[in-house]
Amino acid sequence: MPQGDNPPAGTRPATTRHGFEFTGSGSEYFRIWITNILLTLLTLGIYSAWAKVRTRRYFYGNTLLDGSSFEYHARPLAILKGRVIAVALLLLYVGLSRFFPLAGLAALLIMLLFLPWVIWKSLRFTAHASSYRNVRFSFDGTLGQAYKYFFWIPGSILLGTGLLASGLWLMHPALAPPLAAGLLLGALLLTYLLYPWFQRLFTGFYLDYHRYGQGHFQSQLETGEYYVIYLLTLIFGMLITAGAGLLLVLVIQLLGQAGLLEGLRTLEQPDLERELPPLLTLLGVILLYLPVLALSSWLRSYFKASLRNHVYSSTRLDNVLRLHSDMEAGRLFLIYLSNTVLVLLSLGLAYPWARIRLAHYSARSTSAIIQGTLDGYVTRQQVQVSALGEELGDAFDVDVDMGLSL
Amino acid sequence: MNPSNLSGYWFPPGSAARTPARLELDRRHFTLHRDGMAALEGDGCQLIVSDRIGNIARTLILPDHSVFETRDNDTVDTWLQHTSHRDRTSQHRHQLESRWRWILAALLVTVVLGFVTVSQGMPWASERIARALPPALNETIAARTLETMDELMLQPTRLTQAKQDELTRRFEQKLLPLQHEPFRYRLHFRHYPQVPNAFALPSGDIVVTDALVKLVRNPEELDAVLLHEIGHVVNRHGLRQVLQTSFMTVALIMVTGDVTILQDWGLALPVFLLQSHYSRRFETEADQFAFERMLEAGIDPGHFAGIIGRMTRTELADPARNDVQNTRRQQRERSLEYLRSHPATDRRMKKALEYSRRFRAGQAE
Repeated sequence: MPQGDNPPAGTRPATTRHGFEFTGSGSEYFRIWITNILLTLLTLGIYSAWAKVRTRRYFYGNTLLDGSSFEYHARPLAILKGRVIAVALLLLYVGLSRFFPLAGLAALLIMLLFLPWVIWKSLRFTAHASSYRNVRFSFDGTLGQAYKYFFWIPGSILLGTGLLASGLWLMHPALAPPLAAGLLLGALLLTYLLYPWFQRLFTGFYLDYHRYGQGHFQSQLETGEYYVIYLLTLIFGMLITAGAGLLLVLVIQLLGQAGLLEGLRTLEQPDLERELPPLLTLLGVILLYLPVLALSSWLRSYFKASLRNHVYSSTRLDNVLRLHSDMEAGRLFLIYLSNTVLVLLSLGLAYPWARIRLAHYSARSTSAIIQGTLDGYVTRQQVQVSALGEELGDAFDVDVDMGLSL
Repeated sequence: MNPSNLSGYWFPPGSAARTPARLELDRRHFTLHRDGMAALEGDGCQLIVSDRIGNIARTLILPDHSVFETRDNDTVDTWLQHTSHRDRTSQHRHQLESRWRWILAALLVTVVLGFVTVSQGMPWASERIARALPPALNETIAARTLETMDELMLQPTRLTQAKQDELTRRFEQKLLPLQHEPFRYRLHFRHYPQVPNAFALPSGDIVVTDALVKLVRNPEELDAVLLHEIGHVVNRHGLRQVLQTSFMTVALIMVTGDVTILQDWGLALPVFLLQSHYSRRFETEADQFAFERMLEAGIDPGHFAGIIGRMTRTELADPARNDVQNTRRQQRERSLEYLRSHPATDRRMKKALEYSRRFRAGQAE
């Protein structure tokens, strides 16, 4: 059996590097997409579960590593079940808050309490439904851990502050209002400052408890790296905003000198008589809109690319496979920007092409360094049973965004 | 039928060990040939064949749960067509997806359906839901809005108390009886330099600027504006806007299947255009409400045209002037209408005058 193959002592298994590859095409995905939309519209949304599975299968199936593709196996009915429950809960909430406003609020809090459970269920569902080379992925994190990472750690600051505030209130009732305001501000600031660390913890939890067959994924995320990325994004963002503001002031001054500002006033108060020809006004709107679009896209590209590179490059599967990502913010930016322009000009019809281009680039900038072979991996027994028989309990499928999607 | 030959990989049950293999299929049987292993044979109908999507690899699950994977989709399809295999019928979605004629039809239907949903369906559903929800909910949307505006932009009114009382009395005695909804209406006066305007919050708070009070030439003109604002409240425009925005968000996620799309700046422009479109509809609806209630109360709807014309410094096309000038004026008035929150003023004025004619005809009888 392959998993018994141990290399002879003293020789290291060969190391090979494989690039990820994406083989989907825009025109193919366009046809799948438009069919999905039409059927979803005609069935008043029910088909959306089938559409989702079909789309996922298309993207997984076209993502290749070392000649084999990924596969997505979720059953649409399971997803539909989750969606029906979600809609039912929403209706319940609306109904409750209609007759008993307080009960509605309580229901909202209870749903918040269940959020870690929903995330946990979704992580397990998606992992179990995914496979590569006939072997299923799985997610091993426990419900307790989900509550630790998605409830206690982010919630402890607020809870702590709340306790502290009520304690102070008991001791010095007169001082309470200014103190409470100060504490709240402090708590918000602290949450903000700790946010990159939270993100690192979430992503670490996500990666470290994912498994491929009997194998374990491991991440070596650096909290420092997270802070550097977040801080640089913040600094770039501020610089860009300041620069754009300065430019705007300059442009407005120039326009004012040229006597063209009367036209701009009409944008604020549309019913005043306009002096500027409409085309010029439209041009002005576009000239204001495009830089905002470009700058925000660049910032987003920088953030996404750096975070992705760090996360992927510090992830490995046992001692067999290491991931690597070398995405360039500049390239990603060009793709984002041209995608947006394409989608806008086509009134949304170019969306499939935009998405395929992004998938091409993210595959192209990802690779795996494999030491030896993946032949030894097998689907774990319990995963196999659940995959063949019933889904794991009632499936809940919510897209959990770890900040890694592009 | 000649036997079909598929090349691909074979995987033992649940294992990643990949062996190059060849699958031979005829009408009834399959034979799997693997390098260095005995051939596997069986009944072709017992293979579980995955649905085709585009050109992604196809998996055929063998009776012993081992898996054969191939990228030769066309051969699999041809083989399926010639058998009585049960997975033969599960391939029609791919057949739909590969016919450009169907795609073109789907595109057309989707565009029309999408347009109808966005322009009629969502506003209709929002209205039904907004009217079914308790009026108190409208108040929660506007909670503290007026306080915030007072802090940031509005100043205390400079009207005398007597004037305020007079206007409030007319509002409560003459206008409020014209509607029968359980909102708690309150009239507020504020100073906002040089801007004659009035606006309503979803809660029933209606704010009038001093400049507007000065601009009106008779009480009926103020009635017209206030009835327009009451129209916003009665028709629950605030709540409906919230609902329409939520619907739009959900629809967007459903159509793209992608939550992160909401971060996309490219969406800002189309969303803005759509919001303006909805806003213009609300204005038209509020105008309509005002006109009808004015007829009911015996106020000439023509007053609406008068005050709104002065508020926005708009003149209607004058038949005495030459046509080129009139056309240019109208063009200017209506250009870029899709960017604006209010319909073109000359349209609104014309509508008011239409009602005014009806009003006068009624009086003449």
